[in-house]
Amino acid sequence: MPVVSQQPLAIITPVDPAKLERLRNLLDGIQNPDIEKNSLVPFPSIKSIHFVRFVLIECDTEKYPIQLALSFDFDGQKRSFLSEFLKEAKDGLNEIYKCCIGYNGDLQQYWNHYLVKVNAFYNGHRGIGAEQVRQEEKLRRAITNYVDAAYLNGTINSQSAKEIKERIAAFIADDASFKWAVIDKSLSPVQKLIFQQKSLVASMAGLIVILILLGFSFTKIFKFLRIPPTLGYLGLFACLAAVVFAVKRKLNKLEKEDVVDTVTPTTRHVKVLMQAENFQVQNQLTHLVEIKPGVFRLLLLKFVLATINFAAKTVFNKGELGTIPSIHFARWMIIDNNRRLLFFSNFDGSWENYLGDFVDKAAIGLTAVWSNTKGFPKTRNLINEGASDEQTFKEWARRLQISTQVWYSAYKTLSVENINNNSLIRSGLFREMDESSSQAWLDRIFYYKK
Amino acid sequence: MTQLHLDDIQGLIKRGYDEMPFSNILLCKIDDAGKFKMWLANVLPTISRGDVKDRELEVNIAFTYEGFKALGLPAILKVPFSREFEEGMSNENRSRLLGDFDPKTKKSKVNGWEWKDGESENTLHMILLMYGKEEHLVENYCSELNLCFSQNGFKIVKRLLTIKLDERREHFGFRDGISQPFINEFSSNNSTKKQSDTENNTVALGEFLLGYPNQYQKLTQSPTITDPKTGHEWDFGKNGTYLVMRQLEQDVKEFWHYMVDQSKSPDGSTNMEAAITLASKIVGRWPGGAPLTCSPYHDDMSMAEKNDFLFEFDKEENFGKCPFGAHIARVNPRDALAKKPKDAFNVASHHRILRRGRSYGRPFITSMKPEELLSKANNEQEERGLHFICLNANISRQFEFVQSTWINNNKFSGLYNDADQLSGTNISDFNIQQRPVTRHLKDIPAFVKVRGGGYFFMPSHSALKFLSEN
Repeated sequence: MPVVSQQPLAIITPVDPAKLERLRNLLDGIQNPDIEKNSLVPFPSIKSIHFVRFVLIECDTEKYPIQLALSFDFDGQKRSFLSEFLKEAKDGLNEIYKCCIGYNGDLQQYWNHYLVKVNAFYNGHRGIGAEQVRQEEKLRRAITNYVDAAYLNGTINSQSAKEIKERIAAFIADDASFKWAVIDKSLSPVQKLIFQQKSLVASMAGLIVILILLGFSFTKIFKFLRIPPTLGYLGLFACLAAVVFAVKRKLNKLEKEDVVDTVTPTTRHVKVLMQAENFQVQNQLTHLVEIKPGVFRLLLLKFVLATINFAAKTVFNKGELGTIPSIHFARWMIIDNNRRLLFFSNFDGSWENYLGDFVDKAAIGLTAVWSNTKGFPKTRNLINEGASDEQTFKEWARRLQISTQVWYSAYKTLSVENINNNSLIRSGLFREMDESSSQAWLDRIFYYKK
Repeated sequence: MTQLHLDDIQGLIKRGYDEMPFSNILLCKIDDAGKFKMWLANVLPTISRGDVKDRELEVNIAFTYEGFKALGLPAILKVPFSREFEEGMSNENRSRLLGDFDPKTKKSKVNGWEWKDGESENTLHMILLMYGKEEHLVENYCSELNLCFSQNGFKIVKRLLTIKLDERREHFGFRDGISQPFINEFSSNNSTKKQSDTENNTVALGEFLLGYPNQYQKLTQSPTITDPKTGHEWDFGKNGTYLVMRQLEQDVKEFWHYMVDQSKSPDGSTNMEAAITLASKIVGRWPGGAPLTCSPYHDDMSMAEKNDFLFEFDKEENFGKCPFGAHIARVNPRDALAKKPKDAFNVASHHRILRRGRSYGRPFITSMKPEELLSKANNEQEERGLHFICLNANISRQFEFVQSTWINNNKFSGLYNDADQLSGTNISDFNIQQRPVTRHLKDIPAFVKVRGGGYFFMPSHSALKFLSEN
C-alpha cells in the first residue's frame, strides 16, 4: 500500500447573520439522527476522509464576525481531494454555503479564498490512509476469527507459532477479498519511520548547510572588519546570549502582569458539550481563545507552534505525542488576523482522560502554546506551572471549548493504537519469519505491542 | 504535612469499621427542612468522628445535591460544588461515561434503577451509614428513626442491609479490599506501616479530603459559602469529601456457570480447577487473594494480602501470568501504563479512590468456596451483590475516570474489545494472553447489574453544624 500523506485543511467563512438559524438547522440535520446516512453530505462515500467537522464560531460577536469553520483530515493532494468532495456533495454544500457571506456558487473558488493556514499539525497514525485503516481492520478481524475457531477446535495449540502464522497466511491468501493484502508487501509506516528518516535527515542537512554558510560568511565579515575570528565569534555568542536574556526578561515581566482567568464554565455550558460526548471510542474537542495582546506574544506563539509542527513530523511520528497515545489528529490555527487561536482535536477516550494526559504527560508543550493566550493559568518561563495547575487548567479549557455542530469519523470503533497495530499485522502477515518473530506477530493480533 | 483536624471529619473517611460487622445504609428524603435541622443539631454529637474510636454505634451522614437544595444551601454558595455532584450519577450524560448506557439501544439504563440521585420526583436527599458492634444497636436506631419521622423532618425511603462475608470475600468468592491507597496523615504514629504501604501506594490526603493539598499539590475546588449572618466567606467543603455509592447486583450463579462452561475437559466433564483458574485470570488474583503476577499457577494464602508488587508486563518471564485487562490491573494499574514505572505511578496516583463498600444479600453458599458453589441447586433467586462505596475529593478525576478510562474502556492497554468482567456491566470480550495464541473469550455476558447509585457529599462536623443552624 502506498504511503499516503494525510493533510489538514481548514476553511473559515463568514456567516450571514440573517441566515444563521437556517445554517444551524442544516448542520443539525447532517449530524442527527445519523451522520452516516445524512442526505446533505455523504461522508462515507468519500474514501479519503478520516475526520470532518463543521463548527459555528459565534462567541464574542461584538468583536468578531460569526463564522463557519470546516475542517478535514484527508489523504492525498488538496486539489484532487476537494474536487472529489465537491463532486460527491455539491448540492448539500451549496445549501450550507448559501448561508455564508459572499458566496456566488463557485465553491472551489470560495473555499480557496478562505483557506486557513494550519500552524501545527499532529497525526497519530502517519502514512495510513483512511481506506487502508478500514481494510486492515477487516483483515485483522478475519485473522482473529480464524484463530478463535482453530483454538476452539483444538487444532492450534500443538503447532509452532511459525506453522500457525503460515496457516493464517494461507487462509487469507485463499480469500479473494484480501487480494490487496497479498500483493501489498510494504512495511507499516510505524515500522519504517519513513517520515522520521526523511525529514530528520533533510532538516539536519539543511541546518548543517546553514551553519557552514553562516560560519563562512561570519568569518568573511570578521576578516573584512579586521576583527580576529575568535573575538568575533565570542562577540557573536555574547549578542545571542543577550537576545535570549532580553526575551526571557520581557517574558517574565509579561508573565507577572498576566491575568489568570478563574471564571468557571457554567453547568449549562458543560452540559451542552457533554451531550455530544462518549457515544463511541473517540471524542473531539474544539477550543477557541484570544491570543494575548502584543507582537511579542504572537511571535512566541508562532515559534512554539512551528516547533511542535516540526517535532510532530520528526520525533512524535510513531503514534504518540510526547507520551500521549490517544490522539488521531490535532491542529492549531491562528485565525482572525492573528487575534485568536483555534484548536481541533480527535482523540480516544473521555475528555477527562484527554485533558488529564495533557496535564500529566505534556504539560510543558501545552503550557508553551497556551500561555500565550488569555486567561491561562499562571506560567513561569513559558513552560513551567501553567497546565500543571490541573483543575484551573481543565476549567479554563472547558470554558473556552465550543460546540462542534458536525463531526464525522471514518472509523469510529478504532483507537490510534488499534490502527497502528493493524498496520503492523498486515505488513507482517506474508513476511518470512523465524519462530520467535512469528510468535511476536501472533501475540500482536489481539493487542498492541509497542 | 498539613495539620489534619480529625475531630472535624466524619469517621468513615478515616476507617471502614472492619471491627463492626453490622451495618445498614438508609436512603432518606427530607420533608421538612426546619424539623430536620433541629434533628441534626440534636444528633450532631453522636455523629461519627475521625478521632473517636470506641463507640458501639457509628453514624455517618452525607447529602445529595438535591438534599442540599432542600436545605437551601445552593442560594448562599459562592464557589459551587463540583458539576458532577450537582448533576448526579444518574444524569444521562454521565451515564454514558460510567457505562450505565446501552450501546445497542442508545439509551441510559438509569431508568431501571431502584434508587438514584438527581432531579426527579422520588430523588434522594440524604444517606445515613450506620455501623454497629451488635445487631440490635443498628436495629434500634433504625426503628427509632422510622417511628419519629414526622418529628425529625425526614423519612427513610429505602433501607439497605449489608453483610460481612467470611475472610473478607465478596460474593463471587474472591478476597476483597486488599489494595487501598496509603495516606500518611491517617496512620497513627505508633502503628507500624504495613509492607504494602510503599511510596508508590502513598497518596496525598487532599485526594480524599477537601481543604488539603492534593496529588498535584493544589487545593481541589471546594464549595464555599457566604455566611448569611456575618457576610464572611467560609469554606463549607473543608474536612468534607464526596461519597460515591453504587448498588451492584452480582449474578454468582451465572458467573461460575460461565467459568465452568468455558473450562470443560475435552471429554465434556467439569474441570473445577480450570474454572477457578479462568475466574482468577479475570480478577488478577486467586480467590484467596494472591496476585497472579506473584503466584501464577496456584493460590497461595501466604500472599493473601500481598499488595507491594509490580505487574512488569514488559518482562518476558511475566508473559501469560496476569492478563492485561484483569480487574486488578484496571482498577489500580500500578506500573502497567507507561514504559517507566515512575511515570506510570505518577499518572495512576491521580486516580485512586478510598473504598468503603460492603456486600449485601446472603452468600450463594456459606463456605464461599468456588468448588462448592456449583453443587448448590440452581433455582434460588435471591439478590446479592456489593454496595460499592468510595470516597474521593474529585469525582470526575477519580471515581469517574477509573470507571470510564480503566474499567469500561474496551481499548485499555492496547486491546480491542475487552472490559473488566468483574465489575463491567456490558457485554464484552476478555483476552488471556498465552502462547502460541491468545485465548479470546467473546461476548461474555455481564455478571454485574447496577440497581442504584448516587453522588453524595459527606460534610465536616463544622459544616453539619452550619447546616443545622442556617
